[in-house]
Amino acid sequence: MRDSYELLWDGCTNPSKLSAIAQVFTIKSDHGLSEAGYGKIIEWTRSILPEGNRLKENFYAAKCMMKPFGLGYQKINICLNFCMLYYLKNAEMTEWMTCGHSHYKPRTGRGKTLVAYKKLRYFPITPRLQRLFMSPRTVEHMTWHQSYDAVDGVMVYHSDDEAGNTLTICILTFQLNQGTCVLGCVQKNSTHSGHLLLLILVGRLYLWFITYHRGCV
Amino acid sequence: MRPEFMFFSMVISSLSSLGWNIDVYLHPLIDELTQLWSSGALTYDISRKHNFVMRTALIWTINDFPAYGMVSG
Repeated sequence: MRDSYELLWDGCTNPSKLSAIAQVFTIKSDHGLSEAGYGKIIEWTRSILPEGNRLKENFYAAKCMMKPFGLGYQKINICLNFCMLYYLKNAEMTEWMTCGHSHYKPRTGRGKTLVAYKKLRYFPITPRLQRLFMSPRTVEHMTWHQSYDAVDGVMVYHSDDEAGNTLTICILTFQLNQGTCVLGCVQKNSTHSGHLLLLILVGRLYLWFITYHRGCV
Repeated sequence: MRPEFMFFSMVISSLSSLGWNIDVYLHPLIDELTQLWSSGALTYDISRKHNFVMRTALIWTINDFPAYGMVSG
């Protein structure tokens, strides 16, 4: 997080070291720039910036800087006929029993690397949720329900009354492994607990999440 | 809704809509949600300066009717 406050060079007003890298990454992905192209642009930019600037010298170094932020993704191989993911215990299978389609493309040349027909990019939500609690700016919005004072005549979430403190939310949790639908219950009953609303976007589907945390460990 | 609270969950490369096959692809997401619900994840809260166990539950989905049909199977 220190990188977000650190200036690109001493005396610079804008941008910070982190936001500069983030902007160059955006340009790289928007225009499909190769790593070599990225390296050349950074090399030229560093040559015109003042001496002692903190712009990372190449793509690898910039990627290492971005890694702790938990913005990574998993690549999961998928069947070409949309019938399965090569995921967890199925990851090592070479073909799927239902459609019989091969996992990997046939090898060409002398290369030993196996190339899958199709891949899914999955962005795990746990590090993203954890990141929201790590920044002083976003954590304010993640915990506003505990500190918010209700105003008379305005319909808001009741954070400070008795009903709010013993809020019981009934939700449907789908237990897919058993193929059954179970009615679950969340109890909110201490001053250290609370719940938050988040939005997760999956293609055309908007999945709302309610998150709560209780006590300290 | 602020953009920083909006997550992009997965990229599926396909020429057309997946239809009912979307459930195959939601497997990693559902696994992660189940894990976050049952055991939670240790998270550092910078405002209170200590760790807590964060748990997550899916409460509702908002979608148009074609997407509703896909998610319901």
